[in-house]
Amino acid sequence: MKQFEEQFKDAFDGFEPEVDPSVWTNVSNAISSPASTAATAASGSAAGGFSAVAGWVAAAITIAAGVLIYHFVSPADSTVSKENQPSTTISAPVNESSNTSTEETTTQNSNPVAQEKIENQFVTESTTDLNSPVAPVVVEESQKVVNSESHATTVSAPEPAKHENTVASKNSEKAENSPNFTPNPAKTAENQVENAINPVLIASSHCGFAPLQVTFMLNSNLKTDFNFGDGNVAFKTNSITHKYENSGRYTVTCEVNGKQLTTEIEVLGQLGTAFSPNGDGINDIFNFGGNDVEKVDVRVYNRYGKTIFTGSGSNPGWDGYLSDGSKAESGTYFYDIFATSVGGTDFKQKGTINLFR
Amino acid sequence: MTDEQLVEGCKLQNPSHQRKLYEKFSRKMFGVCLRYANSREEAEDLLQDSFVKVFQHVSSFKMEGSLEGWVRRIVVNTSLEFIRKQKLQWVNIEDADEPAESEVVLDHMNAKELLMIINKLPTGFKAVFNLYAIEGYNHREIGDLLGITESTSKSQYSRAKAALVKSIQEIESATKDIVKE
Repeated sequence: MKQFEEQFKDAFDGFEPEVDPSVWTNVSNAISSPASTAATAASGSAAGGFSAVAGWVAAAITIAAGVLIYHFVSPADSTVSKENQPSTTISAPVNESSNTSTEETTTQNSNPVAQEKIENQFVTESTTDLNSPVAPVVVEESQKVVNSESHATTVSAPEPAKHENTVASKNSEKAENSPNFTPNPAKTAENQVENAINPVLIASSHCGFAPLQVTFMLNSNLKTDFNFGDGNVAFKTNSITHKYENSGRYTVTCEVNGKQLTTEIEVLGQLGTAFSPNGDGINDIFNFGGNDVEKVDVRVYNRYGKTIFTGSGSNPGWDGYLSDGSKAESGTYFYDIFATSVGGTDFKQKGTINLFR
Repeated sequence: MTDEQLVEGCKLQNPSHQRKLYEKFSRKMFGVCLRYANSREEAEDLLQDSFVKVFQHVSSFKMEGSLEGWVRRIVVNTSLEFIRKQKLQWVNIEDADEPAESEVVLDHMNAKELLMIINKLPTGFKAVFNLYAIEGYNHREIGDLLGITESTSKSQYSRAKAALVKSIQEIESATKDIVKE
């Protein structure tokens, strides 16, 4: 006869009770709010992952920014200013590289969420764990791996001169060429070996409305050919961004060390780009859903980042009115979508709408 | 999708990967929470807190052990944190009587019924029983986890076990009577 304890253990082995859906809703809300993800950046410092590196960078840049402000506030204190001079120089090229002046950075501070949202989807996904004013600075477009690694150099390199070099080489092809590029080289080397053994193909998004831009990358530093599944290919690269113009299901394949890696991309029918809410019955409402989505949550905001419309449902529509009942003026508006496709895939997407009156 | 892909996706905060990871483990982990909590609502809270931690700390997970084991450790630790907060009164009984090896057979009892029986135990007993019998910790480890001594853990366990055996025997004899009639 089995031990008493063992019998209990066995009885609970396959015990998988149904969970109330509200739990996921709460979890999902908690992890997508900037406050909790900022905490992640702080707590993730023990890790070798991207967010940890990004967290370091965020911390470093925040300090640099703080120094910059301090520099302005107390110009009289020349000793401190001198001491801080190198840091100030560091922050300057970083800001330039992302086309943000100091003044703009301040603006971001006052409206961090909006600024974060304006960035393209991939940036948002990969950097939500940063302090948002910093987020746009850190990662640009597709070269995510390269960027995070070269930024890590920024963190670890001791002299300011080196910092500038690294920032300048941010868009260079191979970050692994730059010397001493992480706070813990041994660990990274280990990771690289691991990655080489176990390559993984990562996509920035698996689902979205056409035209859908997706960044693919390998977790290893190896380069390979990518087949995007829509008749297009890319050769000898570690990460690549591809735009899917038409709706459909695509299988992306690549081969690393004789191992075939695949991932699926679901592209949904295109949303409009413009509407004319003038009451003529033609194109008066802008719809954010369609046949391919089960549920959409959408937020529309103006060029100043102010939210002017939110909607949810299978096909929410905006009639061009503001919440106070007045008409939104002609111009460009931005939206964030959080949706579930009919296939059950969750995705985030952003875009612009032109409103004509 | 492999665990590696799930983890990598979650590190990038890809919502569909996060959802998949949740769906893969949530029910099993809910089973764990139910064993520690005093009510379904409490268990839901524990599960929710646990998964938020999972997603917040996934960047520190390096595929060195199993993903499920890692998630489970977070769930158990979250449950214990919750229990520690309740400031339980631990009754230390010197040389608690080891119950005579029982003739209990659980074969015809399912997890739900066992859960009902476990849930009748006071929170402290329950935690020690869960940790020892199901999670497989030893008494020294349990002492560290709950901030009690090894001997307290032992005595709590034997009392918990005695109480469980008693409940099960009661149920069994009741069932036998019904079958006889």
